[in-house]
Amino acid sequence: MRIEDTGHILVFAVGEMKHALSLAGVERVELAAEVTPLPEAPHVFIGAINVRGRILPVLSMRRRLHLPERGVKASDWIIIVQSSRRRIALVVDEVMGVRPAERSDFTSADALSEGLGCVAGAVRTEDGIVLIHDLELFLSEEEEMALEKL
Amino acid sequence: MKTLGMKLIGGFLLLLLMIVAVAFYSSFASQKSLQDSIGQSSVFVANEMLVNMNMAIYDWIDRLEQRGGTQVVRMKVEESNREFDAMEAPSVYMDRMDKVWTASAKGELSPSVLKVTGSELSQELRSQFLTHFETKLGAQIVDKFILTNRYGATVAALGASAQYRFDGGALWRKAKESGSCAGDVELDEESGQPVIPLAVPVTDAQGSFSGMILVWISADSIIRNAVITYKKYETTQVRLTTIDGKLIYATKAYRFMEDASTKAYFRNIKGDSGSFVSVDGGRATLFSYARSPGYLGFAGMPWILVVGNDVSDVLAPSFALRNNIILASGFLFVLGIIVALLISRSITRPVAALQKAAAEITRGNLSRVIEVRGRDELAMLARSFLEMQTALLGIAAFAERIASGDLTVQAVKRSEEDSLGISLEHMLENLRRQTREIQDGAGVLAAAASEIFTSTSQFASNSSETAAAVSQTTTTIEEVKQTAHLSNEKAKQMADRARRTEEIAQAGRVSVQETTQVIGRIQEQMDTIGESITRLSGQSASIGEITMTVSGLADQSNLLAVNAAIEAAKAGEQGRGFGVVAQEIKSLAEQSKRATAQVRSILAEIQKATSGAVMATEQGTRAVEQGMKQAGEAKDSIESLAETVAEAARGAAQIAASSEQQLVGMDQVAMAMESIKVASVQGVEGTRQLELGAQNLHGVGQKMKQLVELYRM
Repeated sequence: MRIEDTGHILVFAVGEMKHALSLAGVERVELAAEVTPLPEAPHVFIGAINVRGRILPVLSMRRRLHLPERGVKASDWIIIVQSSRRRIALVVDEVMGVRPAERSDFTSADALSEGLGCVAGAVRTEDGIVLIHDLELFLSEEEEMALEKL
Repeated sequence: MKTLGMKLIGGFLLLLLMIVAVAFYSSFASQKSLQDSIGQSSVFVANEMLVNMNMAIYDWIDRLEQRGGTQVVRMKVEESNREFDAMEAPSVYMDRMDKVWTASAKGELSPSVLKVTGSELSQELRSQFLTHFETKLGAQIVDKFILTNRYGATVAALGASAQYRFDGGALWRKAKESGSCAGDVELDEESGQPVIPLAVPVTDAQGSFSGMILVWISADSIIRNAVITYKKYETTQVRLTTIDGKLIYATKAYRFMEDASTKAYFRNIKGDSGSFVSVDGGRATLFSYARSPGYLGFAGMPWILVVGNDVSDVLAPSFALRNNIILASGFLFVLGIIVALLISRSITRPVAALQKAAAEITRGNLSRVIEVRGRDELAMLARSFLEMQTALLGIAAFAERIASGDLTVQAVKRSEEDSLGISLEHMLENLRRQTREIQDGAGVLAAAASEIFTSTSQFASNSSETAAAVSQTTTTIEEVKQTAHLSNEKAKQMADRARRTEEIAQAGRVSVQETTQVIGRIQEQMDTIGESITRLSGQSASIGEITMTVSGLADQSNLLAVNAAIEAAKAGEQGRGFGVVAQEIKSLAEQSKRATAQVRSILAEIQKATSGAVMATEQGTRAVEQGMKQAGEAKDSIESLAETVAEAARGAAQIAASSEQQLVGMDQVAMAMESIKVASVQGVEGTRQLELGAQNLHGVGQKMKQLVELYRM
């Protein structure tokens, strides 16, 4: 997904860092709800939740970003996203809101460094420098496979 | 010697004196008996004179009684009586007549007077009485003659009369009552002579009283006739007086009715008769007296007759005898003295020699030699005296040996009756024994004196120490006294303070009560505060719930805003406005959230504060309870403290009183100690003297021992 598609990003915080997603992949946001654990799921998934009648796997951004583990709190947010392959719920600490993102402010990941995983690049916003994640690169092959088995 | 001679002479003279005294006594006794006998004979004479006088007067009365009974007199009296009987008031008549008679006596002769005096009867009577006696006796005896009738009126009168009426006179009445009588001698005014009035009643034929004869006779003629017959000595004098001492007659010159009651011869009159010697007119006179006796039927005149004789005249023989005796006595005296002198000389000479020798012996001189002459008792006395002298010389030698300290000498006893020898023997024995005892005693005395001396020295030093100690003690006691004074002051202060403390304790009790009340109020307020806080807590919780709801709503709003923003962004240009609104909503939601967070934090603060307040309140309540409890305890403590303090105050008062007494006691002790000190000082002085005495005693003991050792036994 590219930034120029909408020109807007959704900024959220995990730990100290602020992150953002291109608004194209974001379906909606929800308040944290009870997470039902999934024993056979890959490590980054902490369970499943029921969102408006649909069961979605919950991915912990803390685990994805290799940050220290902590349980889901009532103040946490759930962002429901739609990648090209599937729909998942991301658990983040807080959602900052929707921000407009100009092309000039965007720096591509390639320009930054190699091997940054899911990070598409960084953009300068009113909230400071935020890392923009690429939804398509969120899950590895093995994770995709494990999810398929479910 | 002289005394002996004088005694001999004195003895002789005494003997002579006794003889002379007997002679004088007999002279005086004879004089006395002579005086008595003359006095007695004079009494008889006086008595006889009085009898003569009374007899003469009685003769007159008898004579008048004879004459009064004549027929003429009777007839005339009867006639007058009848004349008076016929009168209505004879008394008035008589009074008138009496005045006429009185006037006539003064010179005017009244016819009525001449009628009576010149009457036939008067002439008759004149011849019978006056003329008869004048011619018979040669002197006028009857001075006056009156005849009265029964009424007392004059019937006939001889001589001058100034009176008509006589029934008032005492003599007239007495004679009318009891018959003839005589009145006492009186001076007739007309003749100037002493007269004796006589009253003789006249009776009629029946013998009853019909008239009275009154006659005044001359007293001199009666008395002279009686007295003249007596005259024994040349100096004899006679005096006649009334019983109360009025002189009627005297052989010497006298005045009629002169008062002789104070004269010596009248004052010494005692009883009916007697005699005495008294000085009269400067001469010793022997007086004899007698009272008038009666004569036959006549009671006699109330007179006293005194006869006086000069003693020298009466006692002349007795005085001659006395003079002779005095002459003989003088001669005897001279003779007696000469004889006595001769005898005394012969005796006193040898006695004087012996006396001299004896006096020498008395002085201790035994060497005088007496010469012995003759063979009489005095010579024998001298010989015995010589022997005695020799014996005394022997005793002197014996005593001399003893005196020299030789007690080995033997006593010389001359006989069993030799009391001096026996006494000397006893003396020697006693002297030996006593000397031995004295020797022993002196030894003991010396030793004792030595010991006493030592003890006394010790005692003296001890008493000095004692005095020092006493002095120190006195000083100490003075200090103790000061201390007692101080402690007394302290005790008084303490008592004061205790009283003040008691007052403070009382105030404390009141304060505690107030405190208790205040704490009670605080407890109530604490309870109220607790309730308020509990309510506050509840309300905070409600606010929390509301906040939570608000927070939830904010969260939802935020979520919706974000989702709306997403949708708006997705919508592109169309959703731009919507996106702005969503952004606003989000902003509001966030503000809401922040507000609730603030509220929550405030609430949390409130809750924290509330719990703190609750805890504080609880602690407060507990503290108040604690305070209450402590106030109660404090109250108890103060009560007990007040009690204790009261007791302490009483104790302090008692201590103060005791201390006062102690102080008084201390004063007394100090005074006593002062006395002891004085006594102690005196004791030291005494001890010093005692020491001196002991020293002297010691010296005496030593000396005595030396002296006694001089005796040989």
